[in-house]
Amino acid sequence: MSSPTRRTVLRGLGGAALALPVLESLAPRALAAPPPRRFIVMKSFSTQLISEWYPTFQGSGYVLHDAKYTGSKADGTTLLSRPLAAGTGYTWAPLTDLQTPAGISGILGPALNRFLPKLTLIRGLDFLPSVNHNYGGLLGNYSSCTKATPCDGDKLGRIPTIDQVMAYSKKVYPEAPGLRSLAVSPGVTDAMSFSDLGIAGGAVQQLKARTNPLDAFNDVFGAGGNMGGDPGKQQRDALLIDRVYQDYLKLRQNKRLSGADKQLVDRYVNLVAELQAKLKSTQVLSCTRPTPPQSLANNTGLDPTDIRNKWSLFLDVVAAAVMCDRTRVITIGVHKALGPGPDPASTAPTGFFHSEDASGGTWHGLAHDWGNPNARRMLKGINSWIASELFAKLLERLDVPEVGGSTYLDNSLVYWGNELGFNHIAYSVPCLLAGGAGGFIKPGRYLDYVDWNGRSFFAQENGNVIKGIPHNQFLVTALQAMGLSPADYERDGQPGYGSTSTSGRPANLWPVDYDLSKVGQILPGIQG
Amino acid sequence: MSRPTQARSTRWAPALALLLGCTGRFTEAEGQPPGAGGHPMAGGAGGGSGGAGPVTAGSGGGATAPTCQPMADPGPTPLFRLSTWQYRNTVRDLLAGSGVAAVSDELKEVLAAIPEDSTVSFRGMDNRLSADQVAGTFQVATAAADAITARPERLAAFAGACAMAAPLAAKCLDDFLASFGRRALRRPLTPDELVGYRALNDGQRSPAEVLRAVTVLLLTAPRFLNHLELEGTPVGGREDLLALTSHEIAARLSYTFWQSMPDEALFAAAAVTGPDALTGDAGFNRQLDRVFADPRTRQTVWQFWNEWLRLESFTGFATARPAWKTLAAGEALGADTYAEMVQEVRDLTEHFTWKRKSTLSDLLTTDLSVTRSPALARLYRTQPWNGSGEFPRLTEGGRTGLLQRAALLVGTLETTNPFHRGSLVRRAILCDPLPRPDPNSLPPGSLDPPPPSAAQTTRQRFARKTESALCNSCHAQFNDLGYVLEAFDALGRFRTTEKVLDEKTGMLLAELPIDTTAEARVDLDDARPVAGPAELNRRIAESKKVEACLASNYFRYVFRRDEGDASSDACLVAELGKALAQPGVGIDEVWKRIAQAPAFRRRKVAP
Repeated sequence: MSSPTRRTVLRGLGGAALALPVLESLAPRALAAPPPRRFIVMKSFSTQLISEWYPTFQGSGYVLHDAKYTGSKADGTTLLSRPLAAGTGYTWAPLTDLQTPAGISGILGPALNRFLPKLTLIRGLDFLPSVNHNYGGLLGNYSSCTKATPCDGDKLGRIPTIDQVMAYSKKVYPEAPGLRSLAVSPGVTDAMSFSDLGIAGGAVQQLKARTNPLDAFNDVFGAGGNMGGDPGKQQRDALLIDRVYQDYLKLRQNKRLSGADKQLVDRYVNLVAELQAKLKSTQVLSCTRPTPPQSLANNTGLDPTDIRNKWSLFLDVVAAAVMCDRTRVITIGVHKALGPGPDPASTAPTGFFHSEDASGGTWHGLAHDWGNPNARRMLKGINSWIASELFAKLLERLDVPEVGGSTYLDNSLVYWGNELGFNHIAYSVPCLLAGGAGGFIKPGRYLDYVDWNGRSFFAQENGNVIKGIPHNQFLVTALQAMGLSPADYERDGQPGYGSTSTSGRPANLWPVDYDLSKVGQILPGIQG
Repeated sequence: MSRPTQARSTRWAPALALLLGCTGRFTEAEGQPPGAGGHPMAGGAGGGSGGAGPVTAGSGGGATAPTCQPMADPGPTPLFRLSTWQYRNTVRDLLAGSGVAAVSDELKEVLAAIPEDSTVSFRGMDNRLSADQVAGTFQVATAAADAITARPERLAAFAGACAMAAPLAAKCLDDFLASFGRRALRRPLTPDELVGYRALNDGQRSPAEVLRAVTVLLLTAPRFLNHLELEGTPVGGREDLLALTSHEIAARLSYTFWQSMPDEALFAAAAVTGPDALTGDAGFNRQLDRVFADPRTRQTVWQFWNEWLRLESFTGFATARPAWKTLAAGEALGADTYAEMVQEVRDLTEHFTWKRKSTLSDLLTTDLSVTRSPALARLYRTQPWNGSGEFPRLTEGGRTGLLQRAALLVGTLETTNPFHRGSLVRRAILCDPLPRPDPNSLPPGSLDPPPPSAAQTTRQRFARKTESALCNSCHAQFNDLGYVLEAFDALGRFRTTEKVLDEKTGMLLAELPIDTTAEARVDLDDARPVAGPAELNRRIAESKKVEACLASNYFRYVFRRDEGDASSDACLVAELGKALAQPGVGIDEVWKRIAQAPAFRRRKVAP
């Protein structure tokens, strides 16, 4: 099998276009309307090493926390001192101040240096509910925990993740889109997204992710055979789908359906409508339909070449989807990555697959073995690879001109989040943003929301459990960045988004006394 | 009523999950991602938890089991889509019965793209609906219609020679709707439906276009993709309790036992009126006997065992680990060994179900070895069965019964996990409630797995970890079950000593005598010690809890729902459980009896 290249997926542009930088050639030449905003989420898993994720820069007026604090707070990371927002203890620093030839941290390496003016690094986002391994926690469904690590101690109801709130919002899609959201995730079909499919009060279900780049492409552009291939046939099929739609509407009127039955029928109605919109909209592509990528079947294997190829194709599809405005909401589950092997002397990249399997040597197993320096070395390597080979490469693809001097990246909000924080603890969950969501966010800064003068409840490795700011405020920030207002997402009369329950966390073990009066507000100072 | 869906334990965060039973706070967990780790009875990377166990409703002996109310209605039947298994079978059988069997081969890719059902519970209980399903079934419909109508000979086989003549004759279309349409919608089309489909034959389209459109519509129709049981007769005038129509009964029979659409004989039976109608006992029992005797029923029943015992969840041996290599040295384990272990379970259950009249107790205590695999027989220190004659016997270490076969004991790693094994038995096999804990109220550090030690057996390490009163309040319910099963190593071999291996080098650090006597408390108030696996099996068989548990699970598998509260469901489950223990009845008879219950031919509509 020949190795597909990044250009393979896009070669449908034609020979002349291929002479141009690939992604630029995809961009429409002119757009009359203001550019849409997009929300792109990349999720990594398990432990994130605090001293490797955050800057440890000192000099030029910066010192480490060690200079001010003792004990576990002396964690070797950079102390920030500029006040972020009046009346708060939050602090910030320009990311370029912390830049070194090796990047801004052990994980956020040199490949990201060119993007520093467009990045926002955030420290101190805390999940308030008791959360362990989860699917959609970083997008607000804190109850989406796994079987073996239940976290829903206070019986949180499932709610849609914010990407799905966006996906069904008219603020994001004034007209029915070809694809409301795209989820990709090599190796694992369960997506981080939970959706009510736009049915207010409807049951919330976990969505599936595409594990094969060709399937993702087909979601975006339509399969060659039935969707996107023959417009005439597609139009006829769209008419047939309308008949099916009518059948479901008629079925819904049946008095012998229970309330739950009707919910299922409602799901059909919405999903059939989605399919219909997809069939119709394929005909009005705003860019040339790229040639489909190679089909790379899903697997849980660790072959480095397969992992590289698959990611390259996935990132191409994501970028093409954005540039052709086929979807504005994308989630990327990073279940596979490369990193260093167990032998420190070897430089050969090793494949890693993050799953439930926490056996020794697996990615997940390393995250449980964080006390072992060799495991930490490998974890750092894996996350460094994600930073340079996935996140930076994604930004590279998006940071091309769109309109009026702005790039696709500028008009997007790209979020690299993690399932958990240090050692599987949901405090100070890592967050790296890119882009400004069309000017909503002022990027180029490192924002620290940790209450450093507060109590450190305990520390492991060099991560502290110290009160930060509710992660809910990040959710609100993202929702508003995409143009939604509180009326579009607030539920049951509660401000903000997502549960703020700390039930189940003893106050002697965990911070629980958060100021919830501002939980409906965006993150302080994030707009500059 | 929705009760907790229990899931098997996984390799997910074993370090965090070690003492999950210790907090006294319990949660109901959600879905579990695919690609999960080893078998629930198996050893984990480190610790384990009370999180093991497959898909039971927690009834059948558990304290929360619904009570029998014989005069009450059955529990409500929700609207279910076809399971993915059923859908694929139905497409295949429908095409085969319509003269275009070869088309199925061309649909393999699009059929494979239909999302698999979740294994968190029984697959059939997954009623989620996704965009992939809707788009996928549409793709299948269009691909099938294209494949048929693009080739004249196929079209002729599919819709008759009349389909070759343009314009399409009205009778030709009507005949097609009366045959293919009837099979697709699993009943004759209504006048309204006929009008809708006939309208597509507007004289502007070619016969192929008309038949393509009709085929796509039929294969995407709500009635094709779902179990719509909406046309029955109100019982006692009640709209919330319906006696199913004959066609609905035919579909229930075929989907219950074949996981597919009715065959022509069932359609014919459904068309019969009068005393032999399928709605009557005589007509129904005749078809039940026929359907049940079909080989497809055996596949359905095997799938039940397979899902109940979570045999699909094992993800393989960690063959690259030095310690695992040491453990397996001298054995002949290969890539197919686990499949052979599963095959043994299938052969064993089928022998006691179909080849001899047995009680469940017979299956739970048998010493027959039915495996033909030399590698597995070697693990058992017996001979492989040669395919005829007497079965060899299990003689080593008191291993008996279904539950002590290797497929239920093996682990991914070289170590066992008594918590996983014990909690599987407690929750899945005995159906005792074993609530899930919340790890977040534990102090830091208490979740770390007990470190390997050359001075302590696995039992000693795990027991030490849960010796506090707080932990023991939950772990006492299942730890000891797992300790008895320490008689088997991570490969499922009997042992009297435990080899402690260095996981990095595989070197033998120590060989320690093991203790397999424990207060297993099969009945929770029975504190008598159990002295090893044979006695454990005897106690389990004597308790009759497995009969009740199995009956409850089988009910859920067949009806695709939990037993309803304040309903007659619990009576049916109790009756089935009793029959499983009754000599002379036979397990096969029990599988059939569920369809003879009045609930099988009725639908209760929830509000």
